[in-house]
Amino acid sequence: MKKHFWGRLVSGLALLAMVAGIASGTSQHVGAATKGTFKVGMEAGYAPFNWTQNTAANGAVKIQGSSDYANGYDVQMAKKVAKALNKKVVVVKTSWNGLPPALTSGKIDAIIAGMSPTPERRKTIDFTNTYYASKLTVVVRRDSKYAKAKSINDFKNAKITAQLSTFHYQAIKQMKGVIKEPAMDNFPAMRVALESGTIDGYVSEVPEGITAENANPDLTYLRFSKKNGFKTNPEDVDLAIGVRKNDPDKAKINAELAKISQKQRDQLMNEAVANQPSTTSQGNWFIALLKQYGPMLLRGTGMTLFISLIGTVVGFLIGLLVGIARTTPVPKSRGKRGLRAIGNWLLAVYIEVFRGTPMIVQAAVVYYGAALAFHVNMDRTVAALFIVSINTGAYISEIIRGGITSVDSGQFEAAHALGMTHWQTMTKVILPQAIRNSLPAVTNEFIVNIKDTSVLSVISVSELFFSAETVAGQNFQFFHTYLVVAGIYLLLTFTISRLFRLVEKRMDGPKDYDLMTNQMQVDTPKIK
Amino acid sequence: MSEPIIEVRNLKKSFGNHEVLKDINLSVDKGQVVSIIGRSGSGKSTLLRNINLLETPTAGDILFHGKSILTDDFNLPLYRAHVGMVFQSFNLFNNLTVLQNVMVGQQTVLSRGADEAKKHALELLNSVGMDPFVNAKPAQLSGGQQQRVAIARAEAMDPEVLLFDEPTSALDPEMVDDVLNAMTALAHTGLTMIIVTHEMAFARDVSDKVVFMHEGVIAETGTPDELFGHPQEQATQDFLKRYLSRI
Repeated sequence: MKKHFWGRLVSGLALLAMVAGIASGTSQHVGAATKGTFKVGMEAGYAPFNWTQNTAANGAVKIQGSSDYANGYDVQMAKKVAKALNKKVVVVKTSWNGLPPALTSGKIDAIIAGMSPTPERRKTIDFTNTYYASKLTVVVRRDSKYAKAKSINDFKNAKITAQLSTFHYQAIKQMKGVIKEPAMDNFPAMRVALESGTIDGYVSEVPEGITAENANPDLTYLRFSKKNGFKTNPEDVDLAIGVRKNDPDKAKINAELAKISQKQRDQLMNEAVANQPSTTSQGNWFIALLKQYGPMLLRGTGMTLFISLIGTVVGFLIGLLVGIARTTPVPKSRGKRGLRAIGNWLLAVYIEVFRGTPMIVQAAVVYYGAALAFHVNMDRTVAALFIVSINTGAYISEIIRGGITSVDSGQFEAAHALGMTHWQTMTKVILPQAIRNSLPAVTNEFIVNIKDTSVLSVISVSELFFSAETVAGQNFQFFHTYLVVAGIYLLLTFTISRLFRLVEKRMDGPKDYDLMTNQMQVDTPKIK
Repeated sequence: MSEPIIEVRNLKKSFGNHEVLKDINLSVDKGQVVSIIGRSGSGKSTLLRNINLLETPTAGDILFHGKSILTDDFNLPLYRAHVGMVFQSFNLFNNLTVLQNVMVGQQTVLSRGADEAKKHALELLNSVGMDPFVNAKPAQLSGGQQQRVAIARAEAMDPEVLLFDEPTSALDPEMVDDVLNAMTALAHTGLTMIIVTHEMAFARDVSDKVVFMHEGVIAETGTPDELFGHPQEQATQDFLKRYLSRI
């Protein structure tokens, strides 16, 4: 019987996912292009196409919901397109895999992120004409034997990778005799992997190769002749602007793109390569890092603390209510008993679903899924707060239940014997003790939240980890950046665990009671 | 003195296959002090817990002022406010101070104002000698002190009946007297009391009626003089032989 229920639940969820999928193909009317803004999605971490910087220098554009700016070839292109559309350009920083769902769900109006119009992508979104044509290359270490490769077939036994969900990765197939490594998430990570020798090279496009070479003198990119290079589909190497299907602005964008000559494009790319953030730092790395990225990291820390604090507090309240509901005594009448059983079953489903799925998946489902299936366009921070709260609630419900069961049954009996109702018993007697019992576990949950909010980067919430990724993506100082970030996380969690320890001590009160020294006794109330 | 306040009729209680109470009939008059004695496991505490509905009877009925307390529309919280209980393990609310322990029931169940509840609580704490400890938490008190607070807590509801479930069994001998004194004082106020106890001297001196339970049934009932002076049943005699040598 029980298995039956779960089977139905699973198939129900699968159905929901399918509906969401179908909806994604049909919901073109989720118009986000309102009130003259042109919302452009990009990673802001793929120089020279797009990157994040602290100032508005070189015509950078402010990133939505952040005090950082985006710049690069894509940003300059976006400005031109927006001007032609008579709209104001808004940059929405979005992780690579989040771009297509953000577009279909109407959170952005266009993807200008160095994206190629592959047939797979064309199934869900539409593309304009080319705004940049590029070539594939392989980035290698300058001192490696592959640095002299003339052809893509000169890489026998080389460990090669490329970015996840790109045609770069598919192109590895053309290289004879290479060892195909698992795809990696982003370029900075591949550069570090390459430098450390984990891989011997990665497939990328020429502008990224130029950038890698500039950023790290130990790296170089290979220039293949047409005959010896990768065979590429123009659909792949040509970069285009992603728009929603049937977007009426597509023709206007194409008209504007036609006006920008190849010479102008090369000029824009050269400027972008020249303007991209420098990665060389002088003096103490720590001070340099804090000087350049301190404010960004501080804002990330604030966001992390905000989301985990609110999430834990709201989750705690949810946990309390669920805890009270699940411990109500079995009523005598059959109808009420049925209601109680249904309520308990629903709560159990809630707990199992949110405890049993990763928060990163919940975030993607809630943020993108809600927009696709129900056209609910949630603010990213609101979505983050919602997910963390409801997720924490599921865990804390069980913690509180444990706290309640650990309260001596004599406490319940004494309260009942006085004539208290379940609610009175719970609020006056049991919960204060259950909360005290649960406090160490709740502290734990808070600390877990501080760290686990990092998965919210999937919906591009600029919390500490997302900020750190951006910083590391720009300065390529992975070790240094993440060391600083680790320090910040440790500081947060350590402070919180100490604070809660103090709270616990306060709740416990003193263990002795000395009539002579106890200050409270000075004002023993007298009977009038 | 003849109006029964609590009547137990053909009460049966089983835990699984184990029948603890077999067929209990007991009537307690208003103002009566009834002591229930007997061996451990004879069902004394179970009987008391059934009267307060901390356990649900398997069969039989319990009447309060002639009305069954087992009907669906019976106001259980109100009944429990009228029939207080003092536990063997005190069960003071650990999260509250002594004063709050005595106030909380008055405020939540009887909806008394804070001032009124406090005044009443202080009077009662004073009468059991616990008023210097109003701000202490239960964990800071000795067992005897806790039990005296528990008595004040039960009294604070102005109950018609007080049930005592072996109130001194968990106490050191030197603390037992403090608690028994408090109970004796209460008995003289005319309050109806049902006391499960192993304190034979107390039962003999304070009760109006003594009930001897043996293997889930009431084996013998009588005045203290009858039961302690001239026990009729063999089981009663055997039981008392052990205890009376200690008085």
